[in-house]
Amino acid sequence: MKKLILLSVVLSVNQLLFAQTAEEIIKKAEDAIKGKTSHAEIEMIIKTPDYTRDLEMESWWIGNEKALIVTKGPIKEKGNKTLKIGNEMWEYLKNTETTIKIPPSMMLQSWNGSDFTNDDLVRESNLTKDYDQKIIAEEKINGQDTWKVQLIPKPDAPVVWGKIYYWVIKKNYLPSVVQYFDERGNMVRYLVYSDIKNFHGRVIPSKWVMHNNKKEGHSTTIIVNDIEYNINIPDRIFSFQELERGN
Amino acid sequence: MKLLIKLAWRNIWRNKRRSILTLAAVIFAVFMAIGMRGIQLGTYALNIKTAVELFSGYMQVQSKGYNDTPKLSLCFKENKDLTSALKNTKGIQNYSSRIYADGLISFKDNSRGVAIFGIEPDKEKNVTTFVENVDKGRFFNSDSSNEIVVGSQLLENLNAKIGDEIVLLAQGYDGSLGNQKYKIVGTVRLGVQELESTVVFMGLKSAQYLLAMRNKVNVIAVKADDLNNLKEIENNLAEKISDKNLVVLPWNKVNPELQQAIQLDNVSGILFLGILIVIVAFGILNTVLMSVTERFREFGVILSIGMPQKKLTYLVYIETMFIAIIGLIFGNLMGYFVNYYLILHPIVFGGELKQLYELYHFLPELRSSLQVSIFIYVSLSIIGISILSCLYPAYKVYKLEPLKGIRQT
Amino acid sequence: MLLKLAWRNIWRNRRRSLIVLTSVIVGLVAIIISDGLSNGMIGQMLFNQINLNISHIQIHKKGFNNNKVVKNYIPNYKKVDQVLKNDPSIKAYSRRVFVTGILSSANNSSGVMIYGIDPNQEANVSIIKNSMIEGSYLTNNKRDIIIGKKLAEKLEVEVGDKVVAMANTLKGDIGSEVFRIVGIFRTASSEFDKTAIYIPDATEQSMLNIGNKYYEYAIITKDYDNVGQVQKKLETKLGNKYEVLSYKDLLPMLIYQIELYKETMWILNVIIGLALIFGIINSMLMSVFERIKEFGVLMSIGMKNSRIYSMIVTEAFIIGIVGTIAGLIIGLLLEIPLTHTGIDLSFFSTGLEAFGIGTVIYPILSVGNIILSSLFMPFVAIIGALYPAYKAIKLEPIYAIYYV
Repeated sequence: MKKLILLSVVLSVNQLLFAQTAEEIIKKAEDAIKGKTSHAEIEMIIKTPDYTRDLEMESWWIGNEKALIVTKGPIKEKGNKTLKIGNEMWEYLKNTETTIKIPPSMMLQSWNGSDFTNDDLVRESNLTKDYDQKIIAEEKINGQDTWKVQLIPKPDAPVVWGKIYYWVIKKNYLPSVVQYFDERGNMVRYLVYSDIKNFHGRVIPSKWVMHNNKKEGHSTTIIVNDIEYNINIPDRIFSFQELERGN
Repeated sequence: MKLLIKLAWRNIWRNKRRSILTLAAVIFAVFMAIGMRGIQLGTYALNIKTAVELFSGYMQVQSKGYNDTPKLSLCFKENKDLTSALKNTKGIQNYSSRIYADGLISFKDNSRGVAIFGIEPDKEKNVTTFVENVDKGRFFNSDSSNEIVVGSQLLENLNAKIGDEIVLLAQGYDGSLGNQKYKIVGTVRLGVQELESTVVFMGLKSAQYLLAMRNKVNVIAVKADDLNNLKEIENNLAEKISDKNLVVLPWNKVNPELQQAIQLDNVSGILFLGILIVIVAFGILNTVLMSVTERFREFGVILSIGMPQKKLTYLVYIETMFIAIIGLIFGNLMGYFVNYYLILHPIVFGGELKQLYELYHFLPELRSSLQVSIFIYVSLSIIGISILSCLYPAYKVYKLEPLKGIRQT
Repeated sequence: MLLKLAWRNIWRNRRRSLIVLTSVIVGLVAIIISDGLSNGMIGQMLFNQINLNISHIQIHKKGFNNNKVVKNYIPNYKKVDQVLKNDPSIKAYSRRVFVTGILSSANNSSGVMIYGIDPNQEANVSIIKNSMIEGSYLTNNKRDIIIGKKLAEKLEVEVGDKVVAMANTLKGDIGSEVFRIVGIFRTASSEFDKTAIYIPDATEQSMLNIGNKYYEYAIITKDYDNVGQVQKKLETKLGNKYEVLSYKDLLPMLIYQIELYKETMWILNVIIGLALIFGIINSMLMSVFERIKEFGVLMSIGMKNSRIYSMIVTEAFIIGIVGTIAGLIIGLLLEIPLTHTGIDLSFFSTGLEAFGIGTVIYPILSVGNIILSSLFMPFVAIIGALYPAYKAIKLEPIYAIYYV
C-alpha cells in the first residue's frame, strides 16, 4: 500500500516536472529565435509553380510587441515597410508613399505573397497563451535528439488550427520542425528549421522553410544572413514618421 | 367518304350562324393563345438579353475552376489561338477581356475593401452596357490610363469627389502588394447597393500593371448574335480553343440566380397559358356542344331516312374539323400579325417605371415573338381540344334515336 | 311574374342554360386562380427576401445603410426598444449587432456579414431557424455559430468544426473570436448562404469591444400593407439621428422587378379577361339565337316585345348570378387548399429542380379583385344576350317561328 502511494507520488511529481518542461521547452525554442530584441538581415525566397520571388529585408523586433521590416530589394519593392505594434499592422508602400492599416480582410492574405500570412506575423508566438502544451514523445530528427511537443488550442483561443506538433532539439533548445494540422488531422503546412549557424555568439537555425500542403509547389524560405540579439533598439523607429521617412 | 365530306362542307354553310359562332370561338382561342405566348416568350428573351448584356455577357471564357473559386492566379493569356477562335466562330459579335481582383482603396484617412475590375472600355461597350451607366463624371476611354470609375456609394463613403486622387492596393499575381495612384473620373450606378459601395473599374492594362499580370486576363466576356442557338455557338467556340485549361461558360452557368429567376417566370407563364387554354377550350366545347345539340331535329330526320349512326357521327366530326382548320388558319394569321405588330411597336411601360429607367438604364417593355414553336404548339393544342370537344356531342349523336331527335326542341 | 317565367325557362332549356352557366363558372374560377397565382408570384419574390433577413422595416443610426462600419452603432438602443415595445402595429422585432469581417478555417477564409443576434428574437422575424439543413439552430452558448451551406463548402468545414471570425473593433485594431459550427443553413439565396453568419449578440459585442451596443433593428409589422404608415410613425418618434427604412427602400431593384411583373401580369390578365368575356358572350349569343323560335311563339300569342326582351335579360342575369356564385365556390374550394400547400413549380420544370428552394408559390387571394369580378360577371352574361334578344323581337312573329 505504502509502495503504491509512493509510486503515485513519484509519478505525479514526475508528471509535474514533465508538464512544466513542455511550456519551458517551447518558450526557450521561441526565445531562441526571437530574443528580447533583434536586428536582422534576411532573404525571403517565395516559390510557386508560376514564379519565384527573392526579397531582401532588414528587420527590427522588440520581443513580440513591435516590429519593423524594411524591404531592400528587388527594385520594384524597395522601400516598402511593414510596421507591427501589438496586433495591429501597417504597410508603407514606397511607390505611392501611402501607409495603410491592414484590415481584417487582408490579415489572412499572405504577407508579401509568402506562405506566411499577415496574421502569422501579428499573432506570432502567443503559443503559451493560446495552447495547452504537452510533451508526447522523444524522437531523433537528422541525428539530433528532440522533444515532440503537442500543442492543442484552448477552447477560447482564436486560432484555426486543430493541433500543432513542435519538435525542439534537446541539446540547444532550438526549434527543428513545426507541423500545423486542421481539426481533422490533415497537415495544412509545416515549417522546417535547418542550417544552424553562429551569429555574434548566438546559435540559431539560419534557414526556415515553410511548406504549403494546400497548394502544391508552394513554399517560402527565409534565410538569415545576419542577426544581432538584445541590442538596444530605439522605440522611435516603430512609428509612422519613421515609416514615411526616406530611410 | 367523299359524300360525307361534301355533306359536311355544305352543312357548315347552311348553318351559317352556328358555324360562324363556333369558328369565332376557335379563331379567338388560337389568336389569344398565340398573342399571350408571344408576349411571354418575347419578354423573357428581352429580359435575358437585357440582363446578359448588362454585365455578364452571353458567355464567358475562363480558366477551369475559376467560376467556382475566383482567384487572380486562375488567369490566361489572350494569345493568337484564342483570338482567332473568337474571331472565327460564327455567331460571335464581339468580345472583351477583364481582370478581377480584391483590393483596398485609400483616400486620406479612409480605406475600404474593393472589388477591382480591369476592363477595355472601347471593346467593352460593344459587349455590355454598364459602361453607359455613368452617374457623375465620365468613364475613362483608354485601357491604360490612370483614371478609374467607382461605384456611386463608394465615392460617398470615402468622402471623396470626382477628380480626387486615390491609392489602390491589391495583392498581385506575383504575390507582391501592388500599389498605384489613380484619379477618380466618374461614378456608376448598378442598382445593387453592395456593388455600388465596393466596385472600382479601371483600364485592363493599368490593372495588369498594378497586379503584375503581364498580359494575362481572368475572363473574356462574349456577345453573341442570338440567345436561341447559344449552345451551338458555345460548342463551336470550345472546339476552336486548343488550350484545354480554358472553358466556355454560358450566361446561366456564370449567373445561376438569374437563370432561376427566368425559369420561375417561364414556368408561371406556362401556368397562365394553361388557364387561358382551359377557358378557350370550354369556349370551343360549349359552342360545338350547342351547335350539335341544336341540330338534333335535323339529325333525327337524317337518321330516320336511313343514314347509319356511324356515318352521322363521322359527319359531325368532319364538320367540326373543318371549322377547326379554318379557325386555325385565320387564328394563326391574326396571331402572326398581332405579334409582328407588337414586335415593331413594343408596349413600353411608363409611370413609376420610367424613373427607374433613368437611374439604371433598364428598358421596361413588353415584346412579342414570332418563334415558330408558338404557332405549332398552339395549333396542335387547339386541334386536340377541338377533337376532344367533339367526343361528348358525337357520343350523343351516336346514341340518338331518330324519333327522339325529331321531337327535340 | 317575370322572374317566375325566367326561372322556369332556365330549367326548361336545361342544356342550353348549363352550357352558358359553365362558361360563367369557368370564367370566374379562372380569374380566382390566375389572380391568386400572380399575387403568389409577387409574394414569393418579396417574401423570400423579407422573411430571410430584410424584414418589413429596419432601423439604424442615420447613414449606416450606406456605410456599414463599426462606428455607426445605434446611439440609444434602449430608446428604440421602448418605442417598439409599445407599438401595437408591430408584430415582432429583432435586435442585431452587425459588422463585416472575415471567417476563416484551417483551409480557407472568406469575407462575411457577421450578425450577432438573440436567437429567439431573430426566429420571430426571419425564417433562418427553419432553414437549418444540418445540425441545429443557435442556442445561447457563447461560441455557437451557424453558417450557410455555400460558405461551409468554401471553407471546407462541417458541423462541429472550428472557425475564427475577425473584424475591426471600435478602437481600430482587429478583434477575433473562435466559434464552433452548431448548424448549417440553406436559403433561397445562394449569395446569402455564401456571406451571412449568425453568432450570439453578446459574443460579437465582446469581439468588437463595443460594450452593450447594437446596429440594426429588423421589424415585422402586423399588416404588410401599412408598412409605410408604420415607417412614418417610427421616424417621427425616433427623430433624425436614426434612419427608418422599409423593405422598399432596402430592395429597390426588387421593387422594380415587382412593378415590372405587375404590369406584365396586368396585360396577361386582360387577355384572360377578354377570353372569358368572349366565351360567355359567345355561348349566350348561341343560346338565345337557338331560342328565337320560342320567342316567335310567345310573340304570336301576344307577349309584348318589351316583356320578351326583359325576360331574356332577366334569364341572362339569373344565369350570370348563379354561375358567379357557383364559380366562386368552386374557385375558392380549389384555391384555398393551394394557399396552404403552395404550388411547387419545380414539379413542372427540371431546370428548377436543381435549385430546390424558392420555387414554391403560395397563391394569395386578393379580395378586392374577386369581388369586382363577381359583380362584373352577371353583366357580361347580359351583354351576350342583348343582341340576339334584339334580333328576336325585331322579327315578325311568323318569321321568328321559322327561324333557323
